[in-house]
Amino acid sequence: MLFLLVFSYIPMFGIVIAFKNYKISTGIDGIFSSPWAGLSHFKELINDYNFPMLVRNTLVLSLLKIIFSYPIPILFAILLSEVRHVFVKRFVQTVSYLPHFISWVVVTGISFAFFSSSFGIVNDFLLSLHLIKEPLSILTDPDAFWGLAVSTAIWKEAGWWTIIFLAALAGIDPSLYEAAEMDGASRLKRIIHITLPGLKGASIVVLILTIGSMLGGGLVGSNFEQSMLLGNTINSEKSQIIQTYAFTIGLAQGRFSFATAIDLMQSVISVILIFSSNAIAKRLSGNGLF
Amino acid sequence: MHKSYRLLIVMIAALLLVGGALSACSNNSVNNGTASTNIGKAEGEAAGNNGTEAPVELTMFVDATWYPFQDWKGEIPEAITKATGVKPKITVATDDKQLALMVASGDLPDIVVSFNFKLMSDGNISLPYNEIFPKYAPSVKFDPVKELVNTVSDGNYYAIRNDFSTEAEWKASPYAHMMVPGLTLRKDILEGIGNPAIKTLEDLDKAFAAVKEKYPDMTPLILNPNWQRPYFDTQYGAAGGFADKDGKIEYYLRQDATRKSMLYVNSLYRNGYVTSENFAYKNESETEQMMVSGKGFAYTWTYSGADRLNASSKDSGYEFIQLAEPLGAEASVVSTGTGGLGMYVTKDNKNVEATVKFLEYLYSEEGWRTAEWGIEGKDWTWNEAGYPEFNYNVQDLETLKEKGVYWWGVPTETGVGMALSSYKSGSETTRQGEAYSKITTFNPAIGMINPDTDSQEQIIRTNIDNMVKTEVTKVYLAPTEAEAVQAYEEILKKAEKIGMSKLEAWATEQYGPLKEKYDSLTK
Repeated sequence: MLFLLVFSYIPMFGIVIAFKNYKISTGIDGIFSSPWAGLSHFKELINDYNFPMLVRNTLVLSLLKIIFSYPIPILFAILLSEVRHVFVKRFVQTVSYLPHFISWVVVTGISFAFFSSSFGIVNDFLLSLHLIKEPLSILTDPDAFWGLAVSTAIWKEAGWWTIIFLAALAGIDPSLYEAAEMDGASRLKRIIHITLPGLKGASIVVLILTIGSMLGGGLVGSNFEQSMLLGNTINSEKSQIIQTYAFTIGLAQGRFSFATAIDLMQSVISVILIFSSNAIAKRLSGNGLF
Repeated sequence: MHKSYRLLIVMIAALLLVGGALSACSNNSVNNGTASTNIGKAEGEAAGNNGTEAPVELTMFVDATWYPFQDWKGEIPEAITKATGVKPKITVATDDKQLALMVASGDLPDIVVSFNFKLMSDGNISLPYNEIFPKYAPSVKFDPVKELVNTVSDGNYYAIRNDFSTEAEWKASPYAHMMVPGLTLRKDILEGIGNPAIKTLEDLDKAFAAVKEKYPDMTPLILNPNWQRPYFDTQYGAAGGFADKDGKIEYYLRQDATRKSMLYVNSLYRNGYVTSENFAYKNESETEQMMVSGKGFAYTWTYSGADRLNASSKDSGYEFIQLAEPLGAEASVVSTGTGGLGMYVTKDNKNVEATVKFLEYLYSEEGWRTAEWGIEGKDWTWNEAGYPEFNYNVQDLETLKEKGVYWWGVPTETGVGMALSSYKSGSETTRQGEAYSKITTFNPAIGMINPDTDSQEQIIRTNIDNMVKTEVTKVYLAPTEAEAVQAYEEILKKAEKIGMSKLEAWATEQYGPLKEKYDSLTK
């Protein structure tokens, strides 16, 4: 509690600079002494010609990640639980969660090695089979960015989240499966009537957490890292998001007040999302996070 | 009862922690502002001992991630330490946001070497040269033009930035050729296509077409990500930043020459001479490697591109040459520069006197020549014609690193000094330098138009520049010329919406008095 108070809540006071004209050269004192600016930074953000694009990219990328990345660990956990061969099960599980430990910088390097139009092995392979005439511009085509971001994020994180659902599966009473089997229930019926209801609680908790962190990329996270590393001037109309914009404005240009206003707006949206999703989950299933 | 006591203790501990942290911050900032001179005196006395005692150690942050030197070692740094009694402890930035964070946290080193003139020229961060030099080195007199171009709105100058020389200095040094953008070509490939004369951009197109036809696996042109368009801008006579049009200032985007240059780059892409992926590269070492490994025929860089590529292609054996002559009558260079890197003495500097002595030496002729060229008589000799002749390969980074020569002279080098370092009769760099000196004019008053950080004009300028960074690739990669023109017009519209006209009106207002001041000192 003390730790949270000192390191999380007290520094949050710095948010006040979103409503001030803070100059970086005034240091910590400037947080208190800078003149008030009211909502001018928020107005500037809303009038910024980039704003609609940034909001669209942030929301679409986040929604796509939730839609495609949320069900995959659940399905993968169910599939793994059905594997009878212990060695295969453990091997697949280990291989699938190992990418979680690779940094995004390395994943970006791997993406370049695979998808580069001049030296990527995917393009070389497709060209050698005469399936394409020109190399595919996966890394630079704006229309390819969202797909690239979602697929690489799933590859990196799905295996890791599978562990949560495997733990939830371990909590299901084995006698339920035995009874169902004795009653002649097929494997599919056992999954539908025992496994899926058994995962309901964990799924809802993970879903609420996912929606709460949706603007950061949800379950698989990393919107910021991906936009910074896989984004470039050619695909920027699809790769630039609110967070990268705040980073560029705040640190590269030293406009900390404006950058804080951008991030604050994103945080407010996130808080609204987490409370709404919790309320909806409570109403629909009776389960909620708080 | 027990619980409430525990809660009380926790609350008090939290308050003490927070209070302690805040008071530490405030004490720090107060002391840093006032105590530096006292400490400076005490330690400074020890510093002026010409190396008989341990040298004064000063922390120095280099705000340039690409800086080739990471530490203060080699015979040249040792000679500088011996002469000044100062040994800098170097930290080179690991990312370009690091300095901003250091400033925000108040955790500054003794000296900052940075291009960020606007951020560092602030009385809250740096000490003004016009106060510390008269106090600790009264004999030092800077050129009034250099003082003027470095003076900010509070009337102080916080650095004398490098790479700037007055027009008079340039004219007095016929062997000094200002750095200009360049185009480097693979010599064997050029010969392979029949060594055609390239006198115009049309000739250049023909050469690219011939390369594409004869060497289909080779990319005819590779663009350095930091030097994508400047070479072509020069051929059309387009300026960067602000430009003087009949006494009024207009932003470069509005110039017809800029439009032509952007459309030319688009034609290069449409003709298949440049790949689309080239515009996604962020690091020039990637493109340099592509050239060194034989993937490209031509490469945009500076006038020393060929010499630098030749130095790094020793193993591959490829030979590079510069396209030395300007391509057509429109080609021109307007030098508006007022300097680049500055050495800023921070408010936190713990030994101002020693720092000033260190800077005094580096700004002196003996000092910067030693730092930049090496020991006179041993590493270089002065040719009577007026340029240095080196006894080592100045393009070979390994040699420079071993000696510790050149890069610690860069922050205080003059424009002429830097240019003389590159002079070598008959070299590719010199061939282009000589040709482009003929089409170069000077107007530093334009470079002095700099909006204050956080001012409305600065916000407009950075917003326009950020917008251009992403939108300009739409011009470059447009599938037809008509679409490229449309994309260019779209950029202009967006720039207008951001406030380009307002920026130009403000800049025109500044320009008149600045030009008057500059002219009064030079004419």
